[in-house]
Amino acid sequence: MPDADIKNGEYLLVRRASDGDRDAQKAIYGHHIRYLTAVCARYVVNQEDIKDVLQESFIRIFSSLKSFDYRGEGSLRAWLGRIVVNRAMDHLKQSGRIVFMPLTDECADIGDCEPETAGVPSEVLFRLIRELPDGYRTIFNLYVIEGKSHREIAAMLNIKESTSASQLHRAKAMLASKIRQYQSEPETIETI
Amino acid sequence: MKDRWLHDIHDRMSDYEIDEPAGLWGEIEARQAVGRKHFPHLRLIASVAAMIAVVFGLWFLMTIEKHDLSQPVEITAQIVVEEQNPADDESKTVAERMVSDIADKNINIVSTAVRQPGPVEFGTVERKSSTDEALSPDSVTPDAVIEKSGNDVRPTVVVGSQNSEEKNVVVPSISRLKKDYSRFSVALFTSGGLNSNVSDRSLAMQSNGVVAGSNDVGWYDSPMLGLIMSNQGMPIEREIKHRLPVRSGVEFGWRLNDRVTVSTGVTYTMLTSDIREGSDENYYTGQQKLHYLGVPVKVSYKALSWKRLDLYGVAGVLAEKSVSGKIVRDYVYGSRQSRSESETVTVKPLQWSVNASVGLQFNVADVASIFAEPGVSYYFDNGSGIETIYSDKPLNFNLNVGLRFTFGNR
Repeated sequence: MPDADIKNGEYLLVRRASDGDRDAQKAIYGHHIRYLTAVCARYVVNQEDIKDVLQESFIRIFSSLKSFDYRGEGSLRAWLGRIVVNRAMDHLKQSGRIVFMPLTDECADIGDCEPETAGVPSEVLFRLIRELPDGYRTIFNLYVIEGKSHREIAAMLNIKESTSASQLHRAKAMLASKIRQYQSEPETIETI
Repeated sequence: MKDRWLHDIHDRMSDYEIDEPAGLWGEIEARQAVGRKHFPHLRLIASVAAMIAVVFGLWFLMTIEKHDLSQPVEITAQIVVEEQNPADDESKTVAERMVSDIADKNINIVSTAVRQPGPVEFGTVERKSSTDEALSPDSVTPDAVIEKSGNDVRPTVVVGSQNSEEKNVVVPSISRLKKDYSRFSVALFTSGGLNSNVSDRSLAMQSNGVVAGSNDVGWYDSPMLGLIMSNQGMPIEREIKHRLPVRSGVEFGWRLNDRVTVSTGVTYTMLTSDIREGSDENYYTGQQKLHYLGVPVKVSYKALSWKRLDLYGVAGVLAEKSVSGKIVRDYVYGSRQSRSESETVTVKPLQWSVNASVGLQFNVADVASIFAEPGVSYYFDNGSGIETIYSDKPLNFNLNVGLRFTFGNR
């Protein structure tokens, strides 16, 4: 039930959408779909799979919107994003795609310097992240972008914390090397 | 700063956006439509089945023959006193005196008889007195005990004396179980009908500007969203006023005993609400009307009865379902009135409520009476999110008035 605080128009949309108002649902979809597609695409590489995961996400979103507690601007987007990440993770787990590369001695280290990302366009960063192998990519996303701890990641993926930490280390190394490679080669930006 | 590149990646990728997959919304919409088909009716069917089971159970209970000896029952009894000399006048007198000493009001002694001891019959015992002493009333202490023998409704009255051997067993014959009241009643009632506004809810909000999304959402097909868009940055208010529910119904009552009656029936209720939402300049006014059908189950207890008036208490449960609902909105943009829009309102879950009232009934004639039942109801949140007087003001006072007809022999 709303209290007397000032709430913005998004709250109205959420309420109407949770009552089943098709127009409000479409509006919410419209506001956030580009963001959610990007979130999904960081985890899921295949285009068809991205569509499937987003579809699943929205079915779940609309059916559980009633229990969503609106807490001001940004809370809706964060909630939507979490649902998409979870659905993406389920998809990856189901399809057996999360394979953790065994550690070998020859794995590249990060090097003495960390890469300078300021000059790298966002589209490129996005593409390079997606090029990481599934296991690295998943953990990199969860840790660096979603901000989860190794403990949380270990729980989500049923792995050990130490596995999560070491996979992250390798992921960072690989991504850093890709960034350096991009920076050293002049190239045209591909569309994703 | 260590990990500066990671922070940079985090900041830039956190709200990164790319194009949506083509045709996604269409697929989502299609899935939603399918999902709706499977679920809603299941709950409705389950609820209706539960209600039918309750009604059936009550009907079953009511129709079981009950022998309740606490009910006033007229027993005609025949006192048989066995005497050696049945023709003896004094014996007869003694028997009569015995009878009068039996103070039990439930026994209406119809006749007395004195007879010789004969073979033991059901319920009678030979008197084993060998003395010539006549029974004197002083020596006899009536000790009427009603015992029920098995399933047969023939209570036996044992009249004892100080000498326990001299027990005269009386077998009353039950002439009839007379019911001096009727059991079945039908009531018609109504409540509400006053159009006063009882519930105001105002909600002040700020429309901060909704983040613009892709253009193919087609907002402007919906005047509601157009309103939200044009009200961006302006304070908006939502007001809803609920009118008192208007309810009518039929109730069928079955009297279990002197004081307790159970009843069920059918009710129809109409809920009307007036809404205004928007800013000062751009807003809509609307009216929401919901029609409910319901099945009540009630128990009433008659506390007092005086001449033609009965005072009783009622408690019950009501399950209602919205069978039809509509909200009509008139949109106003600035100074010009724009479109009118009508939308169906569906309330899928059942609406449960409990109620308690005090009733006063005036028995106009043998079979007809008028009654008034002021009381309170509490409506449980059914999780539908639709705003009605039930959701905004769950504790409600109401006044039912009506006519009641009683059937059965008096």
